[in-house]
Amino acid sequence: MAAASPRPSVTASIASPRRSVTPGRLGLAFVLPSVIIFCLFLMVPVFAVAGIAFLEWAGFRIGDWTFVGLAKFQKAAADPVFWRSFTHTILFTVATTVLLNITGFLYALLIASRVRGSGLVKSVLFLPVLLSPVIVALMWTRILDAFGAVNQLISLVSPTARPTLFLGDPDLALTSVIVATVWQFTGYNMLLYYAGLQNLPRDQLEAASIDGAGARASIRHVVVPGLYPVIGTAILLNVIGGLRVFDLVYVMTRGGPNRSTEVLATYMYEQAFKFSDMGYASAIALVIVALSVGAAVLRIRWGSRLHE
Amino acid sequence: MARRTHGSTTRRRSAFVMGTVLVGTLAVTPAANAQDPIELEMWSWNNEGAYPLVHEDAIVRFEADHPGVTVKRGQSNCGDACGVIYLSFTDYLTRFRAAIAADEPPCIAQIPWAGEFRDFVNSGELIPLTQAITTGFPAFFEPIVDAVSIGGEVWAIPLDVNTLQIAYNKTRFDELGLEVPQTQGELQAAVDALGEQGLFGIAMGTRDRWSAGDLFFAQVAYTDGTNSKLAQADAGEVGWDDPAFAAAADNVAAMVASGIFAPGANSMDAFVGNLDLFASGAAGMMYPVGNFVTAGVADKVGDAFEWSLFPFPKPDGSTLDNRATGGIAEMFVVTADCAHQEEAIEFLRYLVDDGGGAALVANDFIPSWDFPVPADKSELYNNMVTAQATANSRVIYTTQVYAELLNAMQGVMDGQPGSTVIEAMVSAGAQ
Amino acid sequence: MIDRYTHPAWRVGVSAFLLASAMVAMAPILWIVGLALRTGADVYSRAVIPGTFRPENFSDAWGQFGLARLFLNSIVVTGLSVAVVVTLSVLAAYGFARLRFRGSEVLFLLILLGLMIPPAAVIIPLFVEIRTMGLYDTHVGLSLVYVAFGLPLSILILRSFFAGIPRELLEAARIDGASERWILLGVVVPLAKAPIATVAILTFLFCWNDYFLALVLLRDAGTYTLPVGIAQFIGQYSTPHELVAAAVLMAAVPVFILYLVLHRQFERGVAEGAVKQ
Repeated sequence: MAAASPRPSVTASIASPRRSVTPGRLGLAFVLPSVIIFCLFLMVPVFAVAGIAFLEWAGFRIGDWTFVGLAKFQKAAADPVFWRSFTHTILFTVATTVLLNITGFLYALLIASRVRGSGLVKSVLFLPVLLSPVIVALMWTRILDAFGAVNQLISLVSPTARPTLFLGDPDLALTSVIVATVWQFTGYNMLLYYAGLQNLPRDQLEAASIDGAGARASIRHVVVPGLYPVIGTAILLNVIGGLRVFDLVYVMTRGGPNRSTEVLATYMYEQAFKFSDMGYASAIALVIVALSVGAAVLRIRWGSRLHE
Repeated sequence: MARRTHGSTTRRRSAFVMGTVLVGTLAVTPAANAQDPIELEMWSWNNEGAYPLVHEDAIVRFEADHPGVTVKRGQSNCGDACGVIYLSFTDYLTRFRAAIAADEPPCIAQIPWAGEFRDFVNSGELIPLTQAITTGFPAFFEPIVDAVSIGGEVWAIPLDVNTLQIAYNKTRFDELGLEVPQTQGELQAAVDALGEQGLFGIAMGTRDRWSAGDLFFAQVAYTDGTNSKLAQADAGEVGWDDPAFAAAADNVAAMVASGIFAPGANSMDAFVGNLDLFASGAAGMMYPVGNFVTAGVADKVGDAFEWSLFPFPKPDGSTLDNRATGGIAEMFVVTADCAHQEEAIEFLRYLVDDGGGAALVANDFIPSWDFPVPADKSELYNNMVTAQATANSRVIYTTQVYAELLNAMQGVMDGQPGSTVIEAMVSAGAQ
Repeated sequence: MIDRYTHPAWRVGVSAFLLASAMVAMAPILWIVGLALRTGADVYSRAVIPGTFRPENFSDAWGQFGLARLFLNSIVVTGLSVAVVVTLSVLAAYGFARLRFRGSEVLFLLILLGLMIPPAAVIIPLFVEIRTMGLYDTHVGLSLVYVAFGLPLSILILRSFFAGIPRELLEAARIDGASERWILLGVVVPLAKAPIATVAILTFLFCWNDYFLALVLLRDAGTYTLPVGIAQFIGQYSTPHELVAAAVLMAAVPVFILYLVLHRQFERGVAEGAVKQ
């Protein structure tokens, strides 16, 4: 269906006498089907969101709206819950990005040493990536509750300790969600870094070891600089994933207790589907998109600086 | 109150044009359409417990009396408990909203008794049932009719009611020589006595939030002797910082501070962790318990101990009688886009006729109208029916205020002062 | 590669640490397996090792949840989406990498913007659009949305791989008289097996595990995909946790199988595609 409709034009241009079609034209024909679907189902909604953010609209009927200008953005600026969600989103993004890159790099290094069992470990660490975030959230909710596996372990060490209420304690809830995220995605970062390590030029590594550089020195001077592109990719993917986190928080805590884990995406969902304020929800959505685009721009800048 | 929107006017106009064309060319009369088989669609989120049995009972009787009209089933291999179409509770409203926006809502839909109900009414997506309710429907309890009335019209059919009380471990109370607490002072004494045995007081699960709200409503039942402040605040006649509300929030905060509740409420689901604490005997009491969960409690407790219910006791010095809080459990609306509104209303009649009442009672639900209780019903069931008669309302219709009340009450369960609740409600009410 | 790694004691230590990590990674999954095998009454027991054993949970969940239908729906939607994403992204990535045209860089950056858009952010207008096109409650509509969300990362991965193919290889084929279509199908695609497998797996994961988009864009139980269908059994007051656990495990089986079959390709694909910039 989707693939079939643009096809005739592509086949026609290929089938026509060779070289009569310029490579550029052909390229455009190749790219066009993707661009059409992408624009139709992603860019149009994005622009619509940008428009809805200026409306007062309950979301029931098209046309049943009024233009309110910047009111929704002003509402956000004055809304303490928005700012709490904003702060939590940034905290979550920074923490998961830092932790995932440390764990991902560490495990990649260790597995690259090809000790016994490293192949198996590589596959096992990747398993959580395959799971739906909804399942992961349900799992961790039970594991972290008062009678869950973690408290069972704690009570083995200190039998008199009261259970730690990870998801019920406003000081621990966000941390718990971060831990669950790191658990799920360490495998992905590990694979990225492992791939990066495999791509490092061997002669440089060997040169470093012939020079008698120790492990720490060769990591610092050869491995890390060689991995800059991977680090950039990994950080960008983690940051974007962090800024848009929804499922895990939604299922594990619903933003609670008392909004202590509310993030932008869950707050947006509440505004749209509970309070029927589509304008405000869209304004919050724009903030998420703007943050992500900002991160990508930083990444591109950083990338071009490195190449200079 | 109900206003149809611009968009729907356009749709109606185009439907009218289409209709004219159809009639003109095919000479199809509306009467001929009525003979076509009709399938009613009804949505609910209570796929659990005995509700599907009650729904199924009404479907069978309705379909027998109305050949050509069927009620759509969600599942196939479910025997005599298929009932209607069930959607998960957490995302029910998201789906309902999507179906409405797509002009394809179910004809009949269960709807929450809180603020979203008013939002849907105000959006013009539901039809008033004021006329319909005068024929073939029982005389619903008056406060219940009030609860489904907005702007002078009735917008929903209430099926059954529930009450929220404290469940207590009777066996343990007897062992310790404890009476059913009549005041919060006596409740404190009971909790202290349990504490000496290494047991917790009241087990609560407020991860779901709504149960924390009910703790607040249980206090308002006493701090507002008139049982009308919530409705007045919804209407903007009194502030959300009314002394009755402030006293209620402070009451809960004081009880949290003095250790009435088992720790960790915010980390437990309403009927998972706290039921575990209660059923295992680790906590002497549990809140909130009503007929929607008594079967689950009975299952889990088994023969381990005897248990019963009492209303949340009044604050010391209150001159009021002890009373439960409660309200509507299941209620149903008919949507404006439903093509078979008459048939939908007719089906609702079967849910609440004598047969429907009998099915409710047989499954330990409490009908929302006066219905004789058979002699063989349990003591627990009679307790709940009695409590229902004097139960106070537990509804805030202003969606944002209700949401912030629940959030702030989670904070109170975690040791925040009662004033945070009032601040949150006032600020949400201002939006 | 790094000399201290060769020290035997160090290697044993690393081995032990890695195995311990693998156990931590597996523990939650094993715990869910344990949950799926308990009786309903034993679900909330405090014992780590379940005291009861009830494998019938799996057949019960299969029947009660109507998993056969849900599997079929998931397979249709996911299969359709993966096929379309792979086809379109191979074409587009080749176009972007090898057949540049005026504005191709701008279009590519535009598509990369798609990476930043969370589904939840655009769900409202997306819903309106899908419904206006008459695609509400259809698998085709849901698949089209999955394709739109799946394309950006797929094109990014494949484009960087295609850009790295030595020019001489393609020139040689051209001199032999092959058309661009033949170069793509006969030369480039066989070379790109690993990144294509990566793209297929990532898209598969996204579609198979998606809950949110399917929740809003599908209406009738007959069209539900696995995550939405299973979630219908999570109740307001009670949930058959042991059956839900059994159902989610069964739903994850195809993912595990796909990964087992393709994991070498997938890992190589990550190395060859995602990492090169």
